[in-house]
Order: sequence, then structure tokens, then C-alpha cells
Amino acid sequence: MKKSGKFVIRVCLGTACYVRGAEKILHKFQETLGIKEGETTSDGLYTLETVRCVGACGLAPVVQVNGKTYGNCTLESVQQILEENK
Amino acid sequence: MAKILEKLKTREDFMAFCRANSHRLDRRKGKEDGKHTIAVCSSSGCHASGSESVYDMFKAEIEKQGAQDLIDLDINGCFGFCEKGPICKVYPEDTFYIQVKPEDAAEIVKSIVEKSKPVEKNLYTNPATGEKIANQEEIPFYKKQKRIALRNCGLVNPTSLGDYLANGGFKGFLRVLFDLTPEEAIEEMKEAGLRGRGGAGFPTYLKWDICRKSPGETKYLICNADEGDPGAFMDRSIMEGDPYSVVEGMMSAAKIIGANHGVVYIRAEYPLAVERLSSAIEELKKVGLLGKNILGSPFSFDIEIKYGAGAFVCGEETALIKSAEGDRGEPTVKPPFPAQKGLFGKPSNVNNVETFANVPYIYGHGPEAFNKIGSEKSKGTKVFALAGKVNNVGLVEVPMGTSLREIIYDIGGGIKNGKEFKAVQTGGPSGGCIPSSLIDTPIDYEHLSAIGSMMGSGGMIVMDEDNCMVAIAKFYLTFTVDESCGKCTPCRVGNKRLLEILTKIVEGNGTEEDLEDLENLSLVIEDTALCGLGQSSPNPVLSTLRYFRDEYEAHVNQKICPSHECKALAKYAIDPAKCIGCTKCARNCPVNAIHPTDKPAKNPKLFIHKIDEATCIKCGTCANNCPVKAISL
Repeated sequence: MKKSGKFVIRVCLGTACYVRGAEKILHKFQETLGIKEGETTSDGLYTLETVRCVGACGLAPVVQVNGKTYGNCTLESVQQILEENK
Repeated sequence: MAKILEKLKTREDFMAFCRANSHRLDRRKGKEDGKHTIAVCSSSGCHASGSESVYDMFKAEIEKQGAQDLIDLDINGCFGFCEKGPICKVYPEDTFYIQVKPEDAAEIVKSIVEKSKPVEKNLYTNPATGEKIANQEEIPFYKKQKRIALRNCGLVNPTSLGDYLANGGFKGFLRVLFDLTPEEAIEEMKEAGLRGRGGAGFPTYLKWDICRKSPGETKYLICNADEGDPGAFMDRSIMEGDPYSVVEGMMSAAKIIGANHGVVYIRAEYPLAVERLSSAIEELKKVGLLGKNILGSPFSFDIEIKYGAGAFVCGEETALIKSAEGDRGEPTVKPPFPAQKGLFGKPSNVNNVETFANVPYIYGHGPEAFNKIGSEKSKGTKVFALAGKVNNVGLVEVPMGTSLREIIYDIGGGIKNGKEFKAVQTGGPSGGCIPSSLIDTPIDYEHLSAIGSMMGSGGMIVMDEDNCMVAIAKFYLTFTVDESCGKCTPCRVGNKRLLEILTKIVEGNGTEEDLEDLENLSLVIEDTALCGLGQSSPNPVLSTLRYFRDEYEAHVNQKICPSHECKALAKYAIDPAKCIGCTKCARNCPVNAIHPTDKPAKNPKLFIHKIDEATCIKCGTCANNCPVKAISL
């Protein structure tokens, strides 16, 4: 068992999110945080995970941080989400 | 002391109970009584966009403006228009507010108190005409819909049994319990023509009849609420927005089949649906509609909830039964069918949530009311979760036989950002991609399977010109490989090989032979896999090969991805006309692939840059960093 970060970021990769570019959002998180999915940043702040469909397809692409849902995400949202959760 | 409700013991008790509740929806149905109701959507979609804080703000504002005696605050089930959430409605005016933020609450409450016009900024704007629409029925998204399974969603408070009764709830069950013999009830179901809404479309009456005639004292009735198809949320919305109709459907089916035990197998990932269903079951037990000798009849029935852990395969009925027994969720060979030997070896009947939600309507309104809707062999309506690159995302219920064009353009409002429609995927990982040339296909079981897709549970994902169909096939295969239970070789190994070939193609290493291998292997899996999910798992590959072979060939022969989605095949280039020579791209390039040319940029001290294709790893960092958007694929 690995300790997860203070903020668990879940990028939805359900079909609706995928079609609307969720993979790009995931890559942006990977690039910004320097970690792959399933990993935690060395400062213990963020864990990056992927999920299949949180059921909020109307808001695709969707990212959840500790249960809070961010809808209609863009590449710019990535920075905002990280700013908001630190 | 709170009044302790007497259990309902007879049909007359129940009728009196219904009469006592019959007024409950009057205001919601437009009857004026001098007061108003604000109902906030309380389903997962609107929760995600913040409806809970909107509710709290309404509560505070009503108190602040001293309107407690004028305005009741309540919750509603899913309206289906999830993209425009949080949604709330004001009754009896029937004003439909969209994208309500907590700070909008004050103005909405004020408009009710002052009897002024609805708050314009939260009304829906018709994109075609720019006109504001206050009434739900007038919104194009709702105009072509016909709501049977969703008849109560967005109308009733999902936690209120009284609301459910006031809209004709349990009328159908009462007929099944007292007025119809099981044979007559099955005959009515046959006449109605309801077919399984979980995907395969097996006639419901026949399933019930086989289970009913199966020998055995103990029988089980199972509700399949394991909605595992990513991008589909019909069943969740029904359970969250109208749990009583699912339970009533189960009760009628149980009475007809002769089952005394009911099981709802539901994903643990649907906490709100679990909560709503559990409280509905508890409430029914309390009033005596579930339990021993219901309303004094010889029929006894109870319902238990079992949790699934989100395995896709557990949506397959035999795997679901295994999992509900506490074993590993793996399918078993049919026959024996569940109707002969199901849960704990007893005859069992498994139906999907949406199928059950249709049952109360059929017995309450009669089979003719149901079978006059729909196409020749597919009766009634179907709920779809419309998502992807379409303007109006949400839950839509349409008569069977409605064309894809009507759903995508009239209800869905067309493709987002004015892009070109390319394909629509129905049926989730078991379904196929339907190209734009077949957009006038009527949606029913027969037509969808004729064009290589399937109804599935009702996911409908719209794709535009930017979506690569090879990448989509790979996306579904990744899902299937993750979710394969591993019991049979064709699915466990075959799908893995399919995924390997697809990965090879999107990475630009595919050959002509790979396309043949894809096709042949897909056909073998289709013929030899153990369960329905395994047999249908190559559908995304077969259907994209059938309709988008040119895209596969472009990947394999010209090594290009026509939609520019596959990164490995991407070629980034700097537009010399736009480049200002700022060097930002070169400084951020992780592999040092960008260098200045000798051509000066607008500022003659700076030089236009160029990407060295051989070194480029196609990470896209340069394009993301370019301040003048000069770098593209």
C-alpha cells in the first residue's frame, strides 16, 4: 500500500470525457506534476488517478479532486485546479 | 409525539391512502393555490455542478426575504438536461431555470415575492432565434421527447412516496395484485411488446413466462442496476429521480413470476442511487406495501440490495448472479438459463432498471397505451444518455423508431462549435460506430443490429471530425481488456491481441496484414467467447473497419492520422508567416528539436524557427507554449 497525496486528482476517462479530450487533460497533469497516473508527487501533495465515468457526462471533460467535481475542463483549467488545491 | 402510521392492510386502506396524497402534485401540475414551490434538481449531474449550495442559498434567501409562508423549497429528480445544470423549477408558473448559481437565488426569490417577470438571465436561450424560453416543454431539447420511463423524473420529489402515488403510482401493481391472474398479466405484457432495455432486447413477457413455469417453490427476482457502460447514466438517473417506479416494477414482476425475494444488484459507485432506493424500500416496508401478505393478499415480497464493485462483466446476468452469491463475478455457460437455475440454483428472473421503470406504466395505463408508441417490432420508448460533441448533453427519452438525425440535431442541437458530424457510437463497449451516411436510420433493436451496432443500455456518444476512429476503437478495446474477467480465452487473449494491433497502428507501425488480422481475430472472438459481453467486444473494431476503413488505411499506408488525433503520427510545423521568433518553443522543447533558421522574423533581430522532424517526439509542448499560435499539426 502506498500513501496517497493530500489531494487525489481523478481525471475521468469515460467515453464522453474521452471524446471531448480528457486524454489531453491527463497529459497536461502528467506534464505539470511530473508524475504518471497512479503516482504521487514527491512532496506528498498530489496523487494522479484516472476513473471511468463519474456519471457527469454533461460536464465532460471532468476532473475530480477529493470528491469535488470540476466540469468543462480545458488545458487552462489544469493550472487553476492545482492553484485551488494546495 | 409523531403520528405512527398504521400499516395498510387492505385494498381499501390503500385507496384511502392514495386519496389522502392525491393533491400533492397539484401545484407542480400548474394549479394555483396562492403559494409557490422552488424545486432544485438533486441528481448527481446537478450535484456535480453545485446544486446543493444553490438549495442552501434558496433556503437562506427565502428566510431573509421573509417568504417562508409564500414559498416552499423542495427537491426534484433529474430533468435530463445535465449540461445546463444546476436546474431548478418554480411552480405553479412552471418556470425552468438553468445554470443557477448560489448568487442567483436572491433575484429568483425576489421575482416570486414581487410577482415580477422570471429572471431572464437564467432562462434557456434558443440558439437558433436568440429568444428566451421560460417553459420546459417549449425548449427544443424536450419537444421531441416522449417520457414514459422518465415520466416522474423532474416532476416528483424522489424521496416522497406521496408524490409518487399522486402521479398514479401503484395503480398498475394493484391491478396485478388483485385483478389479473399471472396468465392475464403476462398476456398484457406480450400485447404491450416491452423488450429488455439492458441491451439485448429479449421480450420481457417471455422471460417472465419461462421463469414462472420453471418448477420450484423459491424464486428470485433480480434488478440489474450494474450500469457499467462508461458514458451511460440512464439507470442511475431513474433510480435517483424515481426510485419508486423501479420498486413497483419489481413488485409486479415478482407477483407474476411467483417470486418472494427480490434483489437489486447495484454499483457501489452510485451512492445517491443506493440511498434513494434504500429509503424507498424502507418507506414501503413501513406502510406495508413490502413484506408479508401485502394489502391482505397471499403475496409476500421483500427486497434486498447487493452491491457490485463496478466490474463491467457483472452487468452480464450470469456473472451478476455469481457475484450476488458472493463468488467471483464470472459468467457461466447458458443453458441452464437463470430462469431455470439462477441465484442459489433457484429459478431467477433478471431485468434491467429501465425495463422495470416501464412496467408500472404498462399495467397502469394498459398495453395499448404502450404499444401504440414505437416501431413495428420495438415498442415504447428508449432512454439515451446523449453525450460527446453535441450541443445539448443529457438524458433523452424518445419513441423507438426516432431517427439518429432527430436525436442529434433536433434534440441534441447539432454538433458543438459548428464542426462536422462524423459518427455516433451506440451500445457502449459492445456497440458500434455509425457513420454520418446512416444518420437517418431509425433507432430500434432491428435497425441498429443490421448496421453493426446495437441498442445496448443506451449510451450515445457523438463524435466530430476531430475524433480518430482508430483511436476510438483502441479506447474501447483498452476498456474491454481492463474489464475482461479472464474466464474464456477468446476474450482474455483475443482482445489483448486486438489491442496490441490497434496500438501498433496508432503508433504508425501498422501494416496491411494487420487490418486483415484485426478482422479475422474479431470474427473469431465474436463466434467463440463465452458470454454476451465477450461476443460483442470486437464490435467497435468491426464497425469502424466497416465504415471507416479509409482512416485505418491512412494510418497504415500513408502513416497519417486524418483527424490529427494520434500523436505518434502527428507532424508539428511552425507557420513562418506567424512565427515572431520569440524562441519560447525552442527553450521549452525537451529534446532540443527546434532551431532558428536564417530567415529574420518581423523583428529583424529575431529569427523564424523550424522543427527538426527526426528529433521531434511530438509532445506538443511547443504548440502549447507558442504565444502567437504559430505551431500546429
